[in-house]
Amino acid sequence: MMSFSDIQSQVDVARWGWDIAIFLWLVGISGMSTFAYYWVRRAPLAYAALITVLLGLAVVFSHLSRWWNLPRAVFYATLDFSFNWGSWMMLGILLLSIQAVICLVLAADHLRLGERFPALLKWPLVPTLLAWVPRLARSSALLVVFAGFGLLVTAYSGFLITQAVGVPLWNTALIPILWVVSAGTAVLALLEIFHLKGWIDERASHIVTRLAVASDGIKLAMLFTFLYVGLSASSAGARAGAATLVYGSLAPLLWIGVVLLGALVPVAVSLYSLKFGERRGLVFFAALLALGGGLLLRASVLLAGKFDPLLL
Amino acid sequence: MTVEAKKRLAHLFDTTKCFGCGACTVACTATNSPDLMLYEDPGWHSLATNIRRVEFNLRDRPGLLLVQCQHCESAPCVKTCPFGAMYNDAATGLVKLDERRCIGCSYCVAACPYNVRWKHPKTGLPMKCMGKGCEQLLAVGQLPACVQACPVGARAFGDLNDPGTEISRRVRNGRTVRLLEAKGTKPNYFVVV
Repeated sequence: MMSFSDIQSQVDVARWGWDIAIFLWLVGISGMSTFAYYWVRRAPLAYAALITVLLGLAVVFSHLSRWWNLPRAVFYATLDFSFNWGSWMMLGILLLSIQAVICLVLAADHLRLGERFPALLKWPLVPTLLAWVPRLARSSALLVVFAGFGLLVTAYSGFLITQAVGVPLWNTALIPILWVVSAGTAVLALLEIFHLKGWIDERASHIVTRLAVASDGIKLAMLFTFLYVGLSASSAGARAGAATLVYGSLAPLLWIGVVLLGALVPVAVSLYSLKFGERRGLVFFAALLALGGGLLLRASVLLAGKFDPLLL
Repeated sequence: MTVEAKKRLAHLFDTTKCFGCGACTVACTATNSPDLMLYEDPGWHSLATNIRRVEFNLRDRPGLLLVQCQHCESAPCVKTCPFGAMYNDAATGLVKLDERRCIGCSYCVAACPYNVRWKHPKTGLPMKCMGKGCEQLLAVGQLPACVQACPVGARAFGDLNDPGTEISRRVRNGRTVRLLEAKGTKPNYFVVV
């Protein structure tokens, strides 16, 4: 009888491990930061969105085993317009490129590049581009579009792995939703840190704390649903992956990392803060845990991915 | 995307004849990746070959299955490849790799339900059947290396659209199955059971 341990893990072959988890985490934070920017139009949030998307792109680029061939691949695909728009990888390249430009516009509006670096204005086209920045970054209609786009980018990071049909644990629509909720929780944690630094006001912080409790609750409910669906799936690969998470080799990462440290401790600290008042060190620590929880969640789901066994 | 090919080249593997000598796997590496004859693939913990060896026990009976690219008509690797590096060859029906368009994202590796790809340690390419060496053999009218190397005729390769080929005859007359058909991949790899 074949045991679950005989079923091959995708990370041995496809090598979608921690680096891809970091990529998905960073892209999720960038997307949900852009989403949150509609309500919290502060410079640190715009900078966080830009930095995370650029870092995410750098991480995924470094993961490519033939990164040097990217210009040639683009060249040949352009020649006969054979870009595969049915691939979430291709869509991701497009979405992340646009996301980077959006984040750059939002950050540039706060940076006031023209005022800080007058020499830039002597470059061709730069004055025109900089003149457009406030118009784009402060348009309410466009900010709605940017927020929606941020949501789409975060969801994309989930759809990317759901399309990998070789790994049945991932073939569920729960993942994009789970990614959106968990990235939202991470951005709320980021806003808590901004509040501690004095970058957002007290009233916003109370809303953020309440939202974080609700968001963590939804995240846990979705995670347990995901695990239940995996454990009861008809596919042996999905069952094996979920079993590895629930009681197998990845159980410590899931139960201690994702559930306890990444969700329950931050929720407990949030509830304590709401009832007894804020203790800055504790809130900062809990926010860091909540941020890290998003990364551990992605890593655990990726590392648990297994192929279906081939049986006659 | 499903492509109607002029030919429908397919592989057949007969589990009732194979006794697991490994000649096909060694011939595959010698023909397609001769520079890696002494290299162990870290994923499969085996020779860097396009043929994966699956051993299992079914009702206390040991079983052996040798799998390779199924040349699916509706291949997940083709659907997921961002720049069209993976494609169904219209002339033969084989799933091929255009190296010029591959960026090494490994999406095709994770997308393949048969787990029959491995990464080349030097080029970063997602390797699979059929390799360049076997393509050259086909071009001069020979059979793929694994088929030629099998001492007991457990393998066959040819055009399923031609009823006169050996593979057509064996698929017609034998008891064959295709792997993971429920995935909707329409594989062109037949297993005699």
